[in-house]
Amino acid sequence: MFIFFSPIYLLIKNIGFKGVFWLTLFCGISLAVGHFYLSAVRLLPVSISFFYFFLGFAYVANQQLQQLKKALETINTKDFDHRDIHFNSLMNSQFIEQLIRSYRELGRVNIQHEERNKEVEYSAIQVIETSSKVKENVQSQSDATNSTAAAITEMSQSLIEVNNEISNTHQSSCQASDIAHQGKATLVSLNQAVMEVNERAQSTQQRMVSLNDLVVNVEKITESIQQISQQTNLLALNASIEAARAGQFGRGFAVVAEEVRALAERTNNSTGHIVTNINEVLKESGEIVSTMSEVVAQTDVCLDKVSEVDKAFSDIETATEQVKLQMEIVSSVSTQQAVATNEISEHIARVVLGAQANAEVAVQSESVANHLRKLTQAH
Amino acid sequence: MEIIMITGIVVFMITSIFVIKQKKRSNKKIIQQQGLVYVGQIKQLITYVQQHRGLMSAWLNGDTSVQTKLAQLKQKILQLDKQLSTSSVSQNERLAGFNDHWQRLLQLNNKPSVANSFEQHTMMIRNLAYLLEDTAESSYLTSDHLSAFPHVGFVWRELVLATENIGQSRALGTGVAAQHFCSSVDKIRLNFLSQTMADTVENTLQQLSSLPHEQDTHKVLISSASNHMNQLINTISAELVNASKVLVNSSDYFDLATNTMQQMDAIFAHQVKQLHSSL
Repeated sequence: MFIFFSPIYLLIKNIGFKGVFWLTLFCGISLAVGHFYLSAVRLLPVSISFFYFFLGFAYVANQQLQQLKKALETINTKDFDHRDIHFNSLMNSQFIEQLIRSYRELGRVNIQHEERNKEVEYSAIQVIETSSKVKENVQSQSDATNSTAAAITEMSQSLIEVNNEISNTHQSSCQASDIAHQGKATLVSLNQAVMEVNERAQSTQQRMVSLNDLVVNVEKITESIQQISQQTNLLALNASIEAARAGQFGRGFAVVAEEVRALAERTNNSTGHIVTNINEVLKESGEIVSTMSEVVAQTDVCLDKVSEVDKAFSDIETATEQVKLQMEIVSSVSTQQAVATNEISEHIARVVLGAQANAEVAVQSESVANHLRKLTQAH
Repeated sequence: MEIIMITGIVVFMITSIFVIKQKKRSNKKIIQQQGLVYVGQIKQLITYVQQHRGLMSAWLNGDTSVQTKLAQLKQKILQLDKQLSTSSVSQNERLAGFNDHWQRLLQLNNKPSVANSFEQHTMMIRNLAYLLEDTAESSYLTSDHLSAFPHVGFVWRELVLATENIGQSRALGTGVAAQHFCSSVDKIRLNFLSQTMADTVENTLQQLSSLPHEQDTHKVLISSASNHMNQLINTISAELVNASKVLVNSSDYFDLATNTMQQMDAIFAHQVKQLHSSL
């Protein structure tokens, strides 16, 4: 059939469908006009030409349409590559060119979309890698924060214990301060007692000096009595001598004189004993005065020591007062620290929750990116 | 009488068909030859715009020494553009689109950013690549009209775009190598370009055909281009995208990419030369 109509095909190829259409129309009009003027024999070639052109035109047109349909059906819709469209077109070249141009632009748009899809795929891979890193980082952060929270909790408990210990120490320092106060008060009493002892010792020492003076006066009086008794003895001796001269008459007087002499001697002996005793009393009182001087000196030393102890107690009192104040400050600061660490612990607990949420978000992002890649791969 | 008349009509018709066919064939050949000239000019224009993209990037990064070269390139682009604007290529609206885009790029009061300049140039180059394909097809330089080159369409589209992909990887990779840092977006772009280049090596280059007497030269050119492309892909992967620290020298990378582009241009020139000889 194709060989039979190949002249029509060649004709259409060279002069186009339009030309062959006009030629067929010309034959048809010739046939219609010739029907009235020409004989049947002469009309036969015109009739044959008309029907040949008409049928050939119809056949080639149908062939072209079939070929075009087949070409359009075989187009790869994955890439819309216009270069895959191959057929010997006899139809209007502008129509075919427009069709090809449309497919060409469609193919270019398709290529651009494919390129974008590929970029989206690579972006998704990059997002997956980034999400994985974020996930790892967040997990690491979460672990670290958990550890930190635990450490801070331990530190908080430790601080509470430290705070308790500081409170105990504060109480101890308060007690030490009270004891130092009491010690100082006791020391003041002791100081007063020692001062009284000192005063009494000094008074006793003065009295002993007065007593010594009195004993010296007694010694002087005793010496006067002794001198009187010695003079009396001399007078009694002179009276005996005179009585002896008086003889008989003087015998009575001699006895009296003897008695006076014996009395003077006894007085002299007694005063001698008194002087001896006074000397011993003086000696003893001298030792007592000396001892009292030592007692006074010792009480002075005691007073000095008490002053030193008093100063030491004052220093202790000042120091314990400072310790007390400092312990109050430390106690206050440690209380604040305990509160702060509690707050930090709570905040870190929140950070841990946030990090866990982030990790979940990162996992979700990774899933979404994977899904995105699958979608782009599917297209 | 009728027989003579019918015979005369048939002979006239056959003669007319033959004459028309010869005229059409002659016209087609002229159009094809002229089309090859236009294609060569558009390809040269693409090369100039690619060079302009690189120099512009250097200038925007503070290298003022390239100003003279930039001015020279602008003149060359203007000259080629004038030639094309006075030819039948100007009927394609893509050339008007390029002219408009180019003028707007030159008239920018403020310096564009490096990224914006790169994007603008890349869009213009893609537009020119499509203009080249349109021109080739409207000049009957297709496999339907060139039976000796069943995949000539790859020369006008895939080969040109593959060269442009190498050009983009050159611009991006040089910047990455200069900064010693490859951002996520750079990685995405370089990965994409590497994959496209690998597809080019695997598919496009193998699809290109040649005339029997040009087979040896063709094979050498394809082999050399494939080797250069593979080396470039490996460098991008090992030294830029997957390296923990970018250590490759920027000028070494630039030279490698430029050599690869030259190999692709050599294939293009060889294909055009074969088409010239076959017409």
